[in-house]
Amino acid sequence: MILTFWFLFSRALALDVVCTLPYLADTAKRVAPSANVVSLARGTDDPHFLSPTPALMAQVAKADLFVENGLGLELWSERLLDSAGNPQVRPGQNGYVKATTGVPVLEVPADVSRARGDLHAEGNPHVWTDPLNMKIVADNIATGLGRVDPSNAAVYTQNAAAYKKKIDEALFGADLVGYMGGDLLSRLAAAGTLDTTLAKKRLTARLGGWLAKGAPLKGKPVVFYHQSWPYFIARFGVKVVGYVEDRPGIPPTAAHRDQLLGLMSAQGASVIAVTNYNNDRVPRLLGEATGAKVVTVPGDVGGVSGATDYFSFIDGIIAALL
Amino acid sequence: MSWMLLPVLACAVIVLTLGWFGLHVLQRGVIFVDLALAQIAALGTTWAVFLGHEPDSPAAFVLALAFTLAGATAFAAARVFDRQVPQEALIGIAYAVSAAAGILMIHFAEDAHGGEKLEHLLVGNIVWVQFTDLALLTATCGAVGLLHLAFRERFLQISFRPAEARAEGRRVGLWDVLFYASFGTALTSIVSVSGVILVFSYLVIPAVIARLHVDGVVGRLVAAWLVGLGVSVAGVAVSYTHPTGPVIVVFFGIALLVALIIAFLRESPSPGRAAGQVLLAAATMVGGLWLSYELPAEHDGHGHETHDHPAPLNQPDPGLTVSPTPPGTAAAADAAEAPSGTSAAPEAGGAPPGTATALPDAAAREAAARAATTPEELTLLSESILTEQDSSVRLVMAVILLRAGHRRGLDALLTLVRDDLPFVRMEADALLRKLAGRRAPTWDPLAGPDTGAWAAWAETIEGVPIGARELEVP
Repeated sequence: MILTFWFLFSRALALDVVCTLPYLADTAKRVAPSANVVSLARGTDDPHFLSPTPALMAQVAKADLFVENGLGLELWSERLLDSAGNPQVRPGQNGYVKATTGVPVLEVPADVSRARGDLHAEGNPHVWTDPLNMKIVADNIATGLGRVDPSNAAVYTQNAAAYKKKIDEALFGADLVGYMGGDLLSRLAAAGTLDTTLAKKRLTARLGGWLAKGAPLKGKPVVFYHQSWPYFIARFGVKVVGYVEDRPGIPPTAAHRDQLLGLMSAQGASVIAVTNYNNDRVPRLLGEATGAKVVTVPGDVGGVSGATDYFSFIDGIIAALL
Repeated sequence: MSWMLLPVLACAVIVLTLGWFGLHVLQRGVIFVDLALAQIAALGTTWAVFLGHEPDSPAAFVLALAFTLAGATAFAAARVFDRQVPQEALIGIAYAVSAAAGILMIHFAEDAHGGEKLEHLLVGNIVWVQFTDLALLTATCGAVGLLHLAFRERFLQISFRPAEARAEGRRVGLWDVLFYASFGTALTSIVSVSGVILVFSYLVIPAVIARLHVDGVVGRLVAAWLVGLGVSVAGVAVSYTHPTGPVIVVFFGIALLVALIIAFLRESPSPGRAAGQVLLAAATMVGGLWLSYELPAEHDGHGHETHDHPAPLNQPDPGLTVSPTPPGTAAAADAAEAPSGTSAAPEAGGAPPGTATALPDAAAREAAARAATTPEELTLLSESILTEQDSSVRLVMAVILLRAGHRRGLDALLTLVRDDLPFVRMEADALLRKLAGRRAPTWDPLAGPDTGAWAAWAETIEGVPIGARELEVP
């Protein structure tokens, strides 16, 4: 009886955290395990396009905290926030978090025009495929949670720190993190000097985690479908042969196909990577023409059945591309 | 030019098939029947995907065909209500409902490829046509063509003279079913190759042009075929670096415009005046185009940006995000503003209060330390090293202070040999060894740096050790 009351009471008290994307919800759950965390998009959805349903609006209406990726990715979130009628979670308010604040953004265009397809004006928003960026995301979410629930702010900071350590250990291996510290390693990785520093200090063999597992990806020629992978590519040193989509959202031309086929055979591309929500028909035709293997990579947590959290998500991408 | 071969052959098969059907469809006034049937076929494929089949499996094809035949039967039956409800209304309804049902089905299936699959059923790309696609297309359209060749008189009669057919006691209903079913079968294979917009253009535009200029069924059929083939070859040839389907459709539009102008001149009672009107209209259009092309070019950039990209409201100040400059240069720029260990991370302007960004922070502090050269900067550095949290940054600071002759660098190294991080301990020990030379304590790999011995050695040194200036910054 008491337990039931306690349960109802705690449910009523629990924070409602509404995230736009599954990877954000996964992070929010780590930072605030006791909160009710939901993701509006599923891992199988294309994050650019989601039809806002009344159910989604109801989620946002009762949210204490709204977390989005931003950078122009969720074209649907503005309409959702307008219709939900929850002033607390509007941009600029305490209940709003743009999770990518402070993330170094790639591919910021010098000038913006529609001529190059649905180019993102603020740079490429698909930041979460680089595990290093997740540490900034976790901090941003913790800060937002601390704003709407100040009494537990210290707990959120602590949980975020634990999560960031887990990310470091998953990326560099627990051994090397114990030896050099995650902060230094992250700094070296962000500056692009990790490999040379480790080689100079004869520590290359102690590198573990995703970077060790993904070492064969360095310089490996891969064709991607959509330009949503620059952060993963930069972190793991994958060599991009080209994109199946010539310009995002515009059908590929014959010239583009021939150019791509030429590049693929010249550079020996053996893998064509298609994000789970993209159509794999054209990639399969390219695969048949060149003998390259077509693999499905998850675009987000939950994109493929094995990707149940952020860690298995990155595991899945690396395994597919190897 | 070999890349043109398969697309042009596919276009030829499509032209021959749809040219014939186009005449029928125009005569019957069911212009949008192709869209409806294509959507119904897509619904069949979606149903197959919902049941767990692959979209290009035989099971999916059979289901698509079954749905199409059911739709065809329904359209044939709809002719019965022609007096109360125009057939085109029911066709439009069928289009809308099957499109909506397809979206719902995808929604319930929680399918990984979801909308993309449905979209692809209707958006083919003629450039990517493969030999097997072409073979299947030719076989299907060939079979349908043979059927229509064999019963051409009957099909023409029920489309063009239904009253006469009824008077002769023909089973019009049955022939209608056969007509829509064969049309639907051909469409199912054409749409997957070319996409629905192209199908609509191929079906209607050649037939419209033929009707404008030619009399008699045979003449019109030949004219439609010639127009279709000409536009296809021109469209494919020009489109190497442009999306092929849209180019063909636009070419069809231009062909129709030309055909309309010629018909207008011919029908007009005074050809001279009509030609003047056409010229005036053309001049107005060209002038308008020229103006619209010229105007934004004067202030390029601004106009485009504000017009195409209204600043999204859900974004805080764009300045919040770090630009993609390499961390080194970004930090160096920050260093000029924040010479000491203060946070150089981008701050949230009026938007949500400051967000912790541990990564750029420490990197910026390290870069600031590396950039310190003037006495003032070095004095600041010797103060900030006392509060620096990150031991690897402290290590860099210590060496820079030592190189500049600051004793505090040595003090920092003496604490760093006791640091929590093994790497920092080792680095500090190695640096001290370079300074101490032969006076360094013996190295015990199990115990690590001998902090007591180092402290004792440091006591014997005044100021900074000789050789501190030659130390390499880690």
